[in-house]
Amino acid sequence: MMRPLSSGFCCFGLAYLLWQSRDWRAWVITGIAVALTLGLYAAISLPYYGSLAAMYRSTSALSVGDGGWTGRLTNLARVGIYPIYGFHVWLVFILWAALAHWRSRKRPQLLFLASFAVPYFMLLVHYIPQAGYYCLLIPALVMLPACFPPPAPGGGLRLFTGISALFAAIALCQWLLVRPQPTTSLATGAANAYILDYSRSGIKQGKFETLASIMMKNNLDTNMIPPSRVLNLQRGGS
Amino acid sequence: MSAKVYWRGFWAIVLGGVIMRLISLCPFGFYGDVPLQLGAMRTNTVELNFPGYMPIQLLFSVLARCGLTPFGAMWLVSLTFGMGSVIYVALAARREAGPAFSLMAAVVMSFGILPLYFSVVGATYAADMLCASAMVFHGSIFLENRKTRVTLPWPGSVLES
Repeated sequence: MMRPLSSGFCCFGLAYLLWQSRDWRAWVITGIAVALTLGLYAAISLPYYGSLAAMYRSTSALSVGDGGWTGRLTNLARVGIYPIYGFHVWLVFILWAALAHWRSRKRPQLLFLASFAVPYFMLLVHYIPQAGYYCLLIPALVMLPACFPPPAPGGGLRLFTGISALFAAIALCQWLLVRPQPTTSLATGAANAYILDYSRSGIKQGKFETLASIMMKNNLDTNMIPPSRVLNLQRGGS
Repeated sequence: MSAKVYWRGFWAIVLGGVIMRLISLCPFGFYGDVPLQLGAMRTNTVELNFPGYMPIQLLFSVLARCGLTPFGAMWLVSLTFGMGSVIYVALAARREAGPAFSLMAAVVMSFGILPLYFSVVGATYAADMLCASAMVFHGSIFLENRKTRVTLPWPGSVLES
C-alpha cells in the first residue's frame, strides 16, 4: 500500500534489524517475504501499465527540486517549516530529553529510527518537500524521546501530562482557529501554502496549492520560480 | 499508573482523535494527486503520476464498488490508516517508555496537525504513516527479543528463528 520510494527507505530500517539479528534464518524468512511482496506488487501493477518498461517510464513525472544553492536553501526552509509548525512543543521536548538523558540513551532503538528516517530526510532536502512526505517521518519523530529514557525508572507523569495538555491546546488552536488568508504578496502566499492551508478551514475550502501556483494565479512576481516549473504550471501541473 | 487508568486514557484520546477527524470532513477530493486518482477510478485507467499507486488504488476501487462513493472510499481508508498509526505508535511507546509516555505519544498522533490532516484528505500518505508506525512497533519487539516471528493466516503456523 505504500509508495515505492517510502517502502524502499523503510527497507533501510529492515536492514538494520537484520544486521542486529545476525541470524541467517531471519534473513531467509525476510528475503521470502520481500520477494513475495515484490511479486504481488508486480502482479497487481504490471497489467495496468502493459510492461515493466512502461511502468518505469511513468516515474519520469517526478519533479525534482531546482538545482543550485537557491533551490536547496528554499527546500531547506520548507523542510523546517512543517515540523516546526506541526510539532512545536514536541521538538523542544525531544531536544530536552536528548540533552538531559544522552548518557542513558537506548542505542539500538536510536539507530533503528535513524536508519530509515535520516536517509529519507536527506532526500527531502533535495526533493521539493510538501507536508505529505513527512508522514513517513512522523512515527519516528514521535518515538524519538523514548530513546532517551531517564536513568531512574518511574516518575515524569506530571511533566508528561503538562506537555500533552500544552501540545493538544496549541494543536487544536492551529486546527480550529487558523484560516487561509487572501493572497496579496509573497509573504501571504507562502503563509497560505506552507501553514494556513493545513487547517480545518483550509480543508473545508478545499485549499491546496504550491507557492509557485499561488504566485502565478495571483499575477505576483514569478522571478523566483525556475523556468521549468513555470512551464509545468502553464501546462496545468502543480 | 494502573492498567485501568491507562486504557481509559488511551481510549479517550483515540475517541478524541476520531471526533476531530469526523468534524473535519473533507467536502471533496482536492489534495495533491487525489483528483487524479478519482479520475483514474472513474475511467478505470492508470493516468497517475507514480506507478506505486496501483495496490492502494485497487483497494479504493473495491471499496467504491461496495456502496461507497470513490472519494468516500479514499477518505475511509485514510481515516482508518491514520487511526491505525495512532494505535501502533502509542503501543510502541508503551513498550519502550511506559504508559505515561504512551499517552503523550497518542496525544501527539491524535491531535498533531500533520497526522490529523493526512487522516482526512483521502491522500495515500496515510499508508506511509501506518506502515512506518507498524515497523516501529514490530521493530521495537524485535530489538527486545531478537527473534523473527512470522504468523501465517492459518492455525498453528508460526515460523520463528
